[in-house]
Amino acid sequence: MTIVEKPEFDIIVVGGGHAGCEAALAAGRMGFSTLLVTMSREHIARMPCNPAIGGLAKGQLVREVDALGGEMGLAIDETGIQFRMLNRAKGPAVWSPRAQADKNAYHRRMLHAIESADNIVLVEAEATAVLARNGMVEGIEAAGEKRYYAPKVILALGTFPNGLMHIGEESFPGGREGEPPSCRLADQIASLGIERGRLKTGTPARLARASVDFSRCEEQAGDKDPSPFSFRTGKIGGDQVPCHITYTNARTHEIIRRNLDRSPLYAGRIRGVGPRYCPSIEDKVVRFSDRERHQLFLEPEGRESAEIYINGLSTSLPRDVQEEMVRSIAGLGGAVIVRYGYAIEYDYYPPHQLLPTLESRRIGGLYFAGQVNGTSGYEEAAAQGLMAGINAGRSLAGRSPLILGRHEAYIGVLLDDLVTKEIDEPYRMFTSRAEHRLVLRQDNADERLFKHGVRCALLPRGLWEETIARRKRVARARRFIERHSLAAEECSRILASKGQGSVSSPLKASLLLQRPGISIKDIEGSLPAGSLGLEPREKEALEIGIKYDGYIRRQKKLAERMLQIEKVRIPPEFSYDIEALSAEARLKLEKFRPLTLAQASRLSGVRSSDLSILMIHLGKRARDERGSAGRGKIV
Amino acid sequence: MRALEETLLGELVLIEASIDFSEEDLPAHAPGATLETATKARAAIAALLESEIAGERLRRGIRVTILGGPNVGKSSLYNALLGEERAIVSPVAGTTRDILRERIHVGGFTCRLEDTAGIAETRCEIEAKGIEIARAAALEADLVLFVVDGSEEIANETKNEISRIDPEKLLCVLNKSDLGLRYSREEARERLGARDALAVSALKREGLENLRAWIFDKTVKRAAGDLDRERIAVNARQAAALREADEALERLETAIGEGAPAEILSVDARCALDALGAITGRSMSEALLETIFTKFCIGK
Ligand SMILES: Cc1cc2nc3c(=O)[nH]c(=O)nc-3n(C[C@H](O)[C@H](O)[C@H](O)COP(=O)(O)OP(=O)(O)OC[C@H]3O[C@@H](n4cnc5c(N)ncnc54)[C@H](O)[C@@H]3O)c2cc1C
Ligand SMILES: Nc1nc2c(ncn2[C@@H]2O[C@H](COP(=O)(O)OP(=O)(O)OP(=O)(O)O)[C@@H](O)[C@H]2O)c(=O)[nH]1
Ligand SMILES: [Mg+2]
Repeated sequence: MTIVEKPEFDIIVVGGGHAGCEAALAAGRMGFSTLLVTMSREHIARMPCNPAIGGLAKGQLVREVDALGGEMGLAIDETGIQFRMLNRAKGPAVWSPRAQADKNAYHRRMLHAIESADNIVLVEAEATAVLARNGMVEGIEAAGEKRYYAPKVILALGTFPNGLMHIGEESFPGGREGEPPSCRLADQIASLGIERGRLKTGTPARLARASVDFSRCEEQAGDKDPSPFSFRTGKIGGDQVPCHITYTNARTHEIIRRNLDRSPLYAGRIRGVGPRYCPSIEDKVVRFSDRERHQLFLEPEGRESAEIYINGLSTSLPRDVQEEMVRSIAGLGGAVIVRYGYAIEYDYYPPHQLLPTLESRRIGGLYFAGQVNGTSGYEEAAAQGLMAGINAGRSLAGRSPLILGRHEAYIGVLLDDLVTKEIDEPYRMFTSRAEHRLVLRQDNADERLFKHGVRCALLPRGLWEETIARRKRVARARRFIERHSLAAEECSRILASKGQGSVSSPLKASLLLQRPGISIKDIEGSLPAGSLGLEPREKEALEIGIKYDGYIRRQKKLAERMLQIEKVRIPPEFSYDIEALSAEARLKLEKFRPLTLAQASRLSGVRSSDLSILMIHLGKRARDERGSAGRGKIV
Repeated sequence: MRALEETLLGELVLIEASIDFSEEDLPAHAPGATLETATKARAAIAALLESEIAGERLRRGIRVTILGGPNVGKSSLYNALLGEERAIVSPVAGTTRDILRERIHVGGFTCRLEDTAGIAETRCEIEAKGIEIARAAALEADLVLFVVDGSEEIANETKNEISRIDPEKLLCVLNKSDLGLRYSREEARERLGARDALAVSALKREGLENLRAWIFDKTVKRAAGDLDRERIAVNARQAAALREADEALERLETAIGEGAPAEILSVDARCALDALGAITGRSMSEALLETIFTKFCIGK
């Protein structure tokens, strides 16, 4: 069969989930003609699980996506129905924004962004093959016949590759509830020599809102003064919708235990590995049998939605057991299940096969983003989609790739982890994964990343200039309070108001501010009027900078030490056939083929002695090559 | 060692869980318990360090010999580098007779520092024997710190003495810089025929950082040139790692005392575990999440 028409694009994105949308928008905004192929426009940017964006560590990711010019932050700001800043009780480094989303509104908002974007063509079709020749991608085939050509293809297929859903004793193919899986493409990708694995995830049942007795649950309200995700959003509008908290009990647990043999997980029908941080209720009851109750959040699926999501009750037990279990819970005695919980197994393509740009090492121009890389979560997916879009574009334009450092962004941590860690369960972000947590804050994502967003032409230049001006104002104020002393009596008065002991000699204002419990509000009145001259946000930045001072410096120092070995590049064809290396290190190094010594240092099983040996051999190699310079090219 | 790591990890797990899973129904993190653990851990590290040093005496370290004329301040420099008064210092020439040896740590490497008798013409047999030993030591040493009194003119014998030493491993130390140097470092290099020269004051403890940096540079170069030595260097690093862990734990104790928030405590606890991990080869971040998930019921 010959195909006459030969549509040409710069970048093709397959899959209109959270990863695919960001990838397509970034590509389009960078000026590339972009084709987004997805099964159905009705399912663009759907949330198959939790009706929420952000949360611990994920909120930081969304702020970073936004600071690089991504869409997620703007979309949730417009369609969120309850906003909370988590971890307020702790220091600002670990504050994380989270919002309940209106699922339908979010989907429509994202669809609108795609359809109104310049340079993006949206086509509803199932991609069935990746076209590649001589190790380079050429395009895709849709519905088994139509071909689209482009030098860059980004795969963002979510949980669809060979998706297999489970409810109780039943299992059936599906990409997620009500949607078909993607099997032809999944197998065809594997036939290109790309290794795959199998993972699993699950979701709880949804309840009819009218059937829930909220009076028997605790209410959880949103923040009074909600803060937006996007640096470009002025103010969050609309009323905040509450969520509710209830608990499982001994009876619930008894019902689950009694029916374990009917669970596909425990009956051994599910082979894929599920995430430990997101266990099904079956898992929780079995593994933590001494717990008397488990906390559940009842979250509306939208402002007007008639459905309630039961956060904490993910399950793949048979339908009748789900019903019995739900009805045993306080407030849910008369609850009606509108959709049942299920588990899903799917193929993923272990990301050690990728470069840190998310481009395949095996097939040039082919990028993988989102769930297909073994991650889980809308935010993780969006971050990868954005980076894949940016890097595909930069590569087309002949520019250097954008690879964020671990000390620069959670996104940097995410991508670096993907290419240096064994992903044997769905990967999700935690703040504890970031060594430089005090620097990677949600409040300063703009300072860290606007420059890249601007450089990639995803954000207007003015934004970066504003950021610099703000930074200068804060620095000026900081110099002031580091020099300005407050009289001993003044300091003692301020300390006393916080129930702290007095001082006998004057203190620099900055030192006073460093004391736990003292905030800028407490000392401001004692400074000469107008000496700071900062907006509230800038004052906050000043306070954070001073309070974390020593600790930030310590972390920065660590980052610098890492940067040193980050610069030591390992040639791609470097031979690890070095006797002195431990066997384990050799295996890992050969599998992951790190690009730098720093990446090598992060592989599990590579010890500092192995690194020393590597360093010596790299040095020797460089010397040898310098010796023969002029004949060969030095990498 | 493992046990130490395990208890500390236990505390870090509680700290981290209180940050990353604050929305969950988890037991609260108690700083008091962390303080107790930190204090116990420091005691354990102190014990380990002692045995570590004793054990290392048997092993070879980088050998650094201090050499020079009488009364130029060799013993003072020796004491200054050790950070304690080990050698007798006096204005009388010929105070040191026998060789003194002690371990010091420079940037994670172990060095065997040696103080020797001042080299001079002498009739005293004991002194002559001491000088013989000193010369022999310098010959075998990995590095030689040749000390001169920088506030005095250079004696003729000095240049002679220096010419016997391999210039690769030699550093001329111009001591007593506090009294004012008679010549610049460049002039010293020329007149003494040495590649490297540094000004210090052993008395005022000035210029010692430069001196340590020089030792470190030379040591690293040697280690990198030779795989066998690298193994020793890694072993020597263990003690340095333990010390690093101890410092971090000390900061942790202070931070808890000040009522610092969890993300601050975490920095110190991580520094400590990171240092220990350099020895045990265990990656903290992986162990961390692993433990959180087995210990707590977390997730939707
Ligand atoms: C049941 C379930 C439970 C989950 N539970 C959690 C959870 O508890 N916590 C959590 O963080 N995350 C959870 N997730 C994961 C979260 O939904 C995903 O991480 C996120 O949506 C991934 O985004 P993505 O862009 O990679 O893929 P998706 O959002 O899945 O989007 C993939 C898109 O690609 C399209 N597509 C696929 N194949 C083709 C093809 N061949 N041709 C054309 N289009 C194609 C699909 O139609 C879809 O639009 C769950 C997902 C499911 C399904
Ligand atoms: N002003 C000054 N005096 C120093 C300095 N270093 C050593 N001295 C003094 O010099 C004298 C000799 O110091 P020692 O350290 O005993 O010298 P030494 O070279 O070991 O002497 P021998 O034991 O004879 O080899 C003492 O009085 C020291 O206090 C210095 O940096 N500045
Ligand atoms: Mg002496």
